[in-house]
Amino acid sequence: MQKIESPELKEFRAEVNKWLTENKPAKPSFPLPQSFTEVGNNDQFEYLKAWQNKVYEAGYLGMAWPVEYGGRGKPQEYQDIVNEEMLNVRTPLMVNAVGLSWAGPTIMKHGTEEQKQKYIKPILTADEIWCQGFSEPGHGSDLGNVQTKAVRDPETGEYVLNGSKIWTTLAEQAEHMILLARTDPDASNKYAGLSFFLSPMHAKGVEAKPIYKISKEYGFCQTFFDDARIPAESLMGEEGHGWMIAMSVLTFERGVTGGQAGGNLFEITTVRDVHDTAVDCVRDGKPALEDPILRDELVDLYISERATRLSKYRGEHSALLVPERMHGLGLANKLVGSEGRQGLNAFAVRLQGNQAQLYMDDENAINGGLWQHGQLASFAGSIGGGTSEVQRNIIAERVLNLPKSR
Amino acid sequence: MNLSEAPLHIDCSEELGLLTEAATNYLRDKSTFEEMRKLADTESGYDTETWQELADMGWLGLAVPEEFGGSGLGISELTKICELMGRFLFSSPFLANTLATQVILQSKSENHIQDWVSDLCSGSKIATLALTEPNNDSWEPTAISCTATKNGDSYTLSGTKNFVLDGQNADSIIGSFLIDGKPALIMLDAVITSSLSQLPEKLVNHARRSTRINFDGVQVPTSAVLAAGDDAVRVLQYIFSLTYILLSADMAGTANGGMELTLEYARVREQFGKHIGSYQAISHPLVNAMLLIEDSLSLIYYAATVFDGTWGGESEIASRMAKSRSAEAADLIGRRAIQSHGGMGFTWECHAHLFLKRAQWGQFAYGDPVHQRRHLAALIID
Ligand SMILES: Cc1cc2nc3c(=O)[nH]c(=O)nc-3n(C[C@H](O)[C@H](O)[C@H](O)COP(=O)(O)OP(=O)(O)OC[C@H]3O[C@@H](n4cnc5c(N)ncnc54)[C@H](O)[C@@H]3O)c2cc1C
Repeated sequence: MQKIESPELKEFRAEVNKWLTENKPAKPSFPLPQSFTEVGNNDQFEYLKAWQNKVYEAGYLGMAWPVEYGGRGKPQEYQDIVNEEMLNVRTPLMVNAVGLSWAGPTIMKHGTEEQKQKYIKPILTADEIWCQGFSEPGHGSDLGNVQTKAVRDPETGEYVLNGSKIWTTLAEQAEHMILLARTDPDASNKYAGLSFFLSPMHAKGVEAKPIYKISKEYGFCQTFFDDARIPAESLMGEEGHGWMIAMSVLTFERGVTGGQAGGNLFEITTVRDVHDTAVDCVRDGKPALEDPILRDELVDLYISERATRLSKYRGEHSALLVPERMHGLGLANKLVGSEGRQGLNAFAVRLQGNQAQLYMDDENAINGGLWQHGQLASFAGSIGGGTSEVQRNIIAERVLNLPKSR
Repeated sequence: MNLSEAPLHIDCSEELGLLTEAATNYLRDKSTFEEMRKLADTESGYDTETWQELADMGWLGLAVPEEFGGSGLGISELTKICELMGRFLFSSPFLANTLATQVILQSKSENHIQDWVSDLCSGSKIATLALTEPNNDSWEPTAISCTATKNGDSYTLSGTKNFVLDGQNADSIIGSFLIDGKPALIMLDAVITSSLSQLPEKLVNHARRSTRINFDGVQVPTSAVLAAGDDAVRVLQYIFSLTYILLSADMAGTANGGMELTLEYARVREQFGKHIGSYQAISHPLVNAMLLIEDSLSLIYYAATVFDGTWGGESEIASRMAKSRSAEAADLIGRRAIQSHGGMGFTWECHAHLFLKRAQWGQFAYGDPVHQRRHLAALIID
């Protein structure tokens, strides 16, 4: 979304556009992931890491982060422009997603000076990848119930970790994990016993085992902790403050709060992309775009896309918001975005008629079967980062002021 | 054509903020459920004292230039007022009168502007539009079968119009007729209007007033023609697009009102030892409705911002998108309002049905979502 821009910002936009167009890396021989949750092999990882590094070195990442930690100390508008131009030019995604978009902002908000000095710059350069250890086999939506234990060794001050985290995106590549673990099993309530750690992945007793996703590709892991010892200074905030910090993480992760370093975490697909696919599709012997029902659906997708873009603008202007629901648009961001992508992908498959059955690698698949893949991958959005059901609970409680569902 | 990826912008002026605050306070006060229910049982469906107050506040000429007796504000302000009228289920000939005034202004007919506009802004006269017909049952502005046949220095009208909003309250009716097979807009003066035999329609939304009018044999002077040919088509398209936006605003406001009513109940009503709002079968559909309302407001405010009344481009697309989405929002919350109130929701006494009924008026007048999307498809896909 562009606002009415000063000449200076206009000029900056042109400069960014030019740089991105000229420096956008050539398409590799292997398929690129459509989202940061899909980095499934080393080729993809190295390619994306090199790209992130290049963008950072050019000065286009962490533009609004303080200079002393590796940022560029500019107003947020500059980063916003870069983000928009990345979408326009369709550059590859930022691989250190967890670091750039939620671990980093959390460190900036809750971390000590030392932690900021140590962690922020390598997040931006992609030299140190971050992963997130929140979900466990037994507790996902009910995050406050996590059971992984962190016991402080009174002699050394180190914490000893036992338990396991699951669905850990980028765990194999990661240097660090933001970790929510239980330091006090006897606390007065389940939340009070939790603490937050910036935990090394390359410690003895930490092991990440990849799990095949729905597409039979890799992308996430189960992370095991077997008497793993991590240094005392891994603790962020105080013991018992873990839940508060974790909630702060989620507001960054779900885009409720700004402060992210920038860059796109998904390959953005637009309704126009689906429309372009549809032009070539035949359904039941006729061009798909002659089918009145599909036309109706396609238009409705355009309407949704438009509305989402406009709501982003409206969300930044409190005078345009419904007074009873000032935080509605922000809290709905994640839900609307993920369900929008899911609907778009599902439609792109549905309009292919009989061909819809073909998958990637079939030489006859429409558009290389990418929509079929995208349709499966889109569940990452409606499950990861808090499911759509949980998002609706949150909106019902915090925006509509309805009583808690639990 | 490709949908524009160009900068999107929404009006957000200080005047708009001040107007919103004043209008919210005024309408919340005036338009109580009790008052609106009382009005719905009267013949005219509105209160003349309140109408005068609207005029005194400058609302009747909100988007009319000051030189013609208006307040000189824009479509965004008008849209906001319509939203708030929907929000508080306010009943009056506001929409009818506003649209008729805009038709006169758009026709650029000096005489009619001189004769009518300041009276329509001051509340001393009311005008309305007669554009749709039972005959072809179409939502197209130019699907006209009523005719005006030249007869010396007058025209003889024929044919029937329906859904003439506040027809029974109007001092003047502006209708669309064919002259020699081409669209024309004809404005009936107070004498002719009062001589028409109007059949009040019984509407689902019993708070609204509209009539069905047979024009057979009615004589009007040639000076009654506001616009003809391409000019009339231009005005019709302008007014249809504007109506899409204003009805959308009314529906989004209605949806917000229905939402508040339902939320209040869901927060206090208990069953099985819990507030019903804690059950996801109640709360999640309300979240879905909220998302539709937020979409609608974004689309509506944008449509008002880019409105220029022309067809074939961004203005038309934006207004149709707004109407498609807000009709769905208002319909969903109207239904959920009734359902969420249980047995109470099925009663006349419960206010829930008022929201669904108002939503249905806005949804079906001037084209429902399927109609709007069919037109959008022609614009965007073909
Ligand atoms: C692609 C992907 C990447 C991920 N990456 C990470 C990561 O990097 N780090 C990490 O920590 N986690 C990650 N996750 C995990 C994700 O956060 C959890 O899967 C999610 O929070 C749901 O938890 P769960 O899997 O335990 O499902 P459950 O909580 O068991 O949920 C099962 C079903 O029950 C529903 N449900 C649960 N509670 C309620 C309720 N109160 N009301 C209504 N419905 C309810 C859910 O919506 C869901 O449909 C990832 C997940 C995916 C899919």
